[in-house]
Amino acid sequence: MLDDEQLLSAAYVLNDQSPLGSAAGYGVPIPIDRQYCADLLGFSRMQNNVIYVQNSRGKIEGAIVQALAQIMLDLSKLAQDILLFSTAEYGFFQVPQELCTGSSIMPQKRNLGVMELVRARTQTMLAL
Amino acid sequence: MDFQETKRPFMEALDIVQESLQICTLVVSVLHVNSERLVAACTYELFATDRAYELALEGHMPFRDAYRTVGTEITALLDSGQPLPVESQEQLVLRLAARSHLGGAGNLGLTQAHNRLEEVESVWKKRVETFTTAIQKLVGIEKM
Repeated sequence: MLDDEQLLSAAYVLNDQSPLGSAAGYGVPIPIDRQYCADLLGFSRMQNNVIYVQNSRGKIEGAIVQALAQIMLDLSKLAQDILLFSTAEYGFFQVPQELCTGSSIMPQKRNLGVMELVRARTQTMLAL
Repeated sequence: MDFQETKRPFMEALDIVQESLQICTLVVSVLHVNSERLVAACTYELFATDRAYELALEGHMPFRDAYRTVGTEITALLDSGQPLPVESQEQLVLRLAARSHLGGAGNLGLTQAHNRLEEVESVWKKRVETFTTAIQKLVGIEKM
C-alpha cells in the first residue's frame, strides 16, 4: 500500500497544475495572468502549453485511475487472504458475527460477504 | 480521442476505492487472530528446507545435495506412513525467529514501514491544507 501511495502521489503531482486560460486549446486574445489564477486556486504550478492542456486530459485521469487500480488489486489480495484464512478449514482468523452474512444454502455457514464484495468490486473498477 | 464519457467511470472508481478502503480498515481492525491454529499449522515438513540449510551451514554439505538428502528422508517417512517428528511450539517459534534478516518473519521491519507511513501522512496533510486554505481564501471564509 505504501508503494500504491507513491503512484497516487505521482498522479497527484501531475494533476496539481492549473489548466485555466487554455480555452479550447489555443489560448485567448486577452492579457490574462494564468499564473495568478493558478496561485489563487492553490495549484503548485500551471500547465504551460495550451494545446497540451487539452491533450493531457485523458492522460492525467488515466494516471489517477491506474494508481486506484493498484490499490484495488492489493485490497483484493487482502480480501482473498482474509476469506481463505477465516474459513472453517483454516481458522487462522475470526471475524465478528455482525460483519458476516449468512449463506444461501448452508444455514450454519458465516460468509464474510464484505470481503467478497471488495474482491468483486476490484473487477468492477478494472472494468470501468 | 474523446473524453466526454470518462467522468462517470472516473468518479465511480474514486467511490469504489474509498468505500473498499473503509471496509477493509474496519474488517482488519476487528480481525481476531487465532494463534493456536497458526502454530498448529506450522508442521514439521513445512520447515524441511530449514534442515537442508542446517546441513549446508553446519555439515558443510553443498545446498543442492542437502536439499536432496532431506527430501529423500522426509519422502520416505511420508511414504511409509510413519508420523513426522513433532516439534514443540518453542522450536517452531525459534524457526520463525531465525529468519532474522530484514523483512523476514523474525524481523518484520515494521518500524521502517511506520516511519514511511508517518512521512507520507504529513505530505498529504500539507496538500490538503494548501488546497483548503486556497479555497477558503477564494470564497472568503476564515480558516476554522
